[in-house]
Amino acid sequence: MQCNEQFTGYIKAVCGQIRWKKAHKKVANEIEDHLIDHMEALLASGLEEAAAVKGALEEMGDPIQVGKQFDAVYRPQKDKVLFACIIALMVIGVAIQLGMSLAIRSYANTFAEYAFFIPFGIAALAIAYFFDFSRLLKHSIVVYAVLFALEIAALFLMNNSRAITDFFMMQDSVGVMGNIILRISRGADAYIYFLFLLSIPVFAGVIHSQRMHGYKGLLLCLTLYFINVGLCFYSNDLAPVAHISIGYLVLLIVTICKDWFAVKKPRALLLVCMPILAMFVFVLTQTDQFFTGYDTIHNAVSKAKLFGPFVENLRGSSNYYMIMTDGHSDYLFSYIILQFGYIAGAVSVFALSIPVFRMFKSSCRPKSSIGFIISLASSLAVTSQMLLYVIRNIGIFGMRASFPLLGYGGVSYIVNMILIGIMLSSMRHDSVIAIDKYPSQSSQVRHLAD
Amino acid sequence: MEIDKSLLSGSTTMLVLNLLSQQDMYGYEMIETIGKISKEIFSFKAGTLYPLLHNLEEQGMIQSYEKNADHTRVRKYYTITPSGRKLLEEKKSEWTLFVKTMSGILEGGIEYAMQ
Repeated sequence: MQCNEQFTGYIKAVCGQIRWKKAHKKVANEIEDHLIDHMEALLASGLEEAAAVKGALEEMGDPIQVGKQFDAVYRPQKDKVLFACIIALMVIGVAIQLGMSLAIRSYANTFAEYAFFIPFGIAALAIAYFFDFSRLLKHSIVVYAVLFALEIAALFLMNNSRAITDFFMMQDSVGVMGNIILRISRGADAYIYFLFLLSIPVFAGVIHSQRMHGYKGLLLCLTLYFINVGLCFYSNDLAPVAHISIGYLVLLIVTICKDWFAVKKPRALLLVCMPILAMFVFVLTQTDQFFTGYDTIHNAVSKAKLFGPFVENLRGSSNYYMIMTDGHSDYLFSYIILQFGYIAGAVSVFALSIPVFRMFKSSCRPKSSIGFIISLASSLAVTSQMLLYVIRNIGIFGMRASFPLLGYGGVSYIVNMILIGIMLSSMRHDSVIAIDKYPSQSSQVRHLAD
Repeated sequence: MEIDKSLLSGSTTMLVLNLLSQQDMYGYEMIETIGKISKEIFSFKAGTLYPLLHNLEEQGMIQSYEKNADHTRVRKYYTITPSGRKLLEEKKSEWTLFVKTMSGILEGGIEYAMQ
């Protein structure tokens, strides 16, 4: 029909003024619907098609002016303070790692390997930032299943690491793929840990897909949680259980309170909180069993002073020796507390927590439901690491955790940059994420029951 | 009698929010409804309405959702949010004060200012 060509031309002229291309589809769909509605009304009033098309287009107004008005509305969302917090964390991480490599002999060669992963981390953040994750998480259960399959694969590699190494040693040449498999199998426990962290934003997508599904949806979410917990127990690493317990529980509490599942809130909160909290507490009580040597840290930190170093013969102390040599960046706050006292430790925890909590605050900004939940989930994955790291360092519970972007470890750096990228992406795409299919239940009752 | 458009432009937000406070609507429906209830004295151009709707949605005053219009088409409806209702009340208060003051000046003249 000729009207389609004219409408398309008009819409193209409007969208030509909107600089952010991701907004084009949303604007184009709505204008097209309006033009068709108006044309049909004019046809029904007795006008010929050509006149109806002309009338509909004239009523819309000058496409350039209309496009400029839309352009003023659609700007990619950028939070400058948040970007500053992220850059601050990256800079502090570099400073800490460089300082340690210069000050501690056993860390002399570690900065080069840390710095090697920085461009990869930045690239990972950039890819995550420009990718619209809402598209991926519309198939969230499939993505969750893929992630779970990767966790199982990593677990297989970890459990058979020795056999895999022996196999490749017997070959004449290992090859590129062989080297990759060898490297993954040797570091598989770290990969599993970070795969579980990445499951938190994916789980958010699952929750989003179960909106208005009532208790059935809630039970599906709980089932997925316990499947992942089961895998953690099988892998003999309970640290991820703490992270996913915090992440999944907060997500479920927030979405239940927002009436996403359309269930009685007190009953639903009880249904999810009791088993997840029970599992979390159980895991915390098992930390001594799964993290040998934690008692040493706990005893040392508990005897630290308000100001000043722990003991005068510090250098001869086995506690000091362990903290200073056994994964030092894993005990950054323990080191500060032992060397400079509790006050210095508290100040450093507070200072380094500010950018992380600012990230968490920003994660609640997106207005679209899927943008909000993905952003919240990503920041929970980052924040839970920080919380468990601090708890470990001040001697409350021993649980493997690294401070995001500060600790040594390529995989940790890249995964945390991906999580931050996902959070930023949710905010960036918030205004053009596909609109909700369902309004909130209260507005449904108020507006559509009439 | 045709109204000067500049008199209407400052009140468009209030008119849109007032419509949505009574019923969820889609864009074309809003234009038609405004025309009918104002007896064609007020008329919105769609090119003015839709950027306004998108802007109000960005600000969180309204939100949108899709609903099946018929077997072939899906329409985008708008609904007011609690923040939107609050803004509407503020706008109504401003308008009431404006109208009262303007009426006083027009009817009472300089003597109104002396009261």
